[in-house]
Amino acid sequence: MRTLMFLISVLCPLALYAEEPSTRMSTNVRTEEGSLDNRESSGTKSSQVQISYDLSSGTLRNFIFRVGLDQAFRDYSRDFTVDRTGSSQPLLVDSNVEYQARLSTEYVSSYGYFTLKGTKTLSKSPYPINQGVFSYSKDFYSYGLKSGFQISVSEQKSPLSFYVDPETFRRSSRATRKNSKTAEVFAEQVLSERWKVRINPKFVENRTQPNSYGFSTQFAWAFLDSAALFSLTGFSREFRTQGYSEDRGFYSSYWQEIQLRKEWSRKISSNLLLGTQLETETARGSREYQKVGVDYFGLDFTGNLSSSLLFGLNGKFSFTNTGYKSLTYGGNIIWQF
Amino acid sequence: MKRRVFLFSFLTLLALNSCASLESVDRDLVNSPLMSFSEDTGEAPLTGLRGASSSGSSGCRVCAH
Repeated sequence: MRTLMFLISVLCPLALYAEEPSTRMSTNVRTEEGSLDNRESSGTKSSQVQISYDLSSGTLRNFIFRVGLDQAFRDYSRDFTVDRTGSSQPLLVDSNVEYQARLSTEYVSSYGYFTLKGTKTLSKSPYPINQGVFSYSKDFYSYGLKSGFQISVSEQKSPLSFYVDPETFRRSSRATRKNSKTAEVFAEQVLSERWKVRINPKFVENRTQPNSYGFSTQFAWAFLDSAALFSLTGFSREFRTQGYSEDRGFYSSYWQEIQLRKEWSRKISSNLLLGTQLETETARGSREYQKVGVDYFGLDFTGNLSSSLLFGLNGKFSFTNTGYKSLTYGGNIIWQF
Repeated sequence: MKRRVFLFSFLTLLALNSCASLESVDRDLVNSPLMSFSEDTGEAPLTGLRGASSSGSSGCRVCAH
């Protein structure tokens, strides 16, 4: 509540300087079926409201401020924790309604594009998260090359739960606070009038689990003036040189995605995506080597009803070889007044 | 290791070559919203071994959270 009051007290005076404030409202619903990570899955409904202030004049020239409030209805009825004796206990929560605040500042100048973002869980939650992200990017060679970096720091808490160590068979408690730092750089290179590539190396430092590294490449090809094809390939792996964390093996993930983007008119565009992701975890104790494949399909539309009213619709369906299915759909409206 | 060095060299040469020959290239289409890259690099917590559950109990070990 104190954070919310702080946001209001900061943003209301800023509104006096605003040239083109806009409000973004979005709602998303996700339904799930099947088993995920050795437990039954559940569903969630969430909605977000984001207000942006674009300060294009006055002393705060070139600044854009955004504040967002997310409300989510989460179902924890199938979540559980394991106590010291080894028995499972249902996760008890006071309320299934959670709030999360998002605050970001963007600054554009001839030196580049700076962004500072913060996310904080405001209400009581079994998994509250605090996250801060700083990013910088700049264009070179008359917009032929764009490059930059991003650094983020996050902390997520979780309820106390216990596990049995696969080597010593002792019961130990899982980390209730996960801290991580992420550093990534990217470069976007124009290859021709219709081709573009983006590369993205990434490194994640974790306090309670092995560090990881990853790399992704995206290609874009405009085969028509109104249609483009995207290809995205990447991987992420935990460092094997570090020790195991808790009762888990080492994790790796590989993914490939194809996107077809089409502008149907000046008002409506669509994006179709097909993707697959392979996740593996090395054997640990009595737990065998695991491999899970995920296939997913998605379709979204964006358009503008008028010069000040924009809308978006999205849907995504994914399923695994373990019988898990997930459907996410939602919509958003942006009103620029 | 050799493959990584080769890949890095290839991409560097590709970028340098592109920069050198870009002067005459029309960049209106490649820098338009139609060809803007997604910030989501694909490793979003989908499902599977460490995927974040919808209930918020993020188990994703390679994500930023």
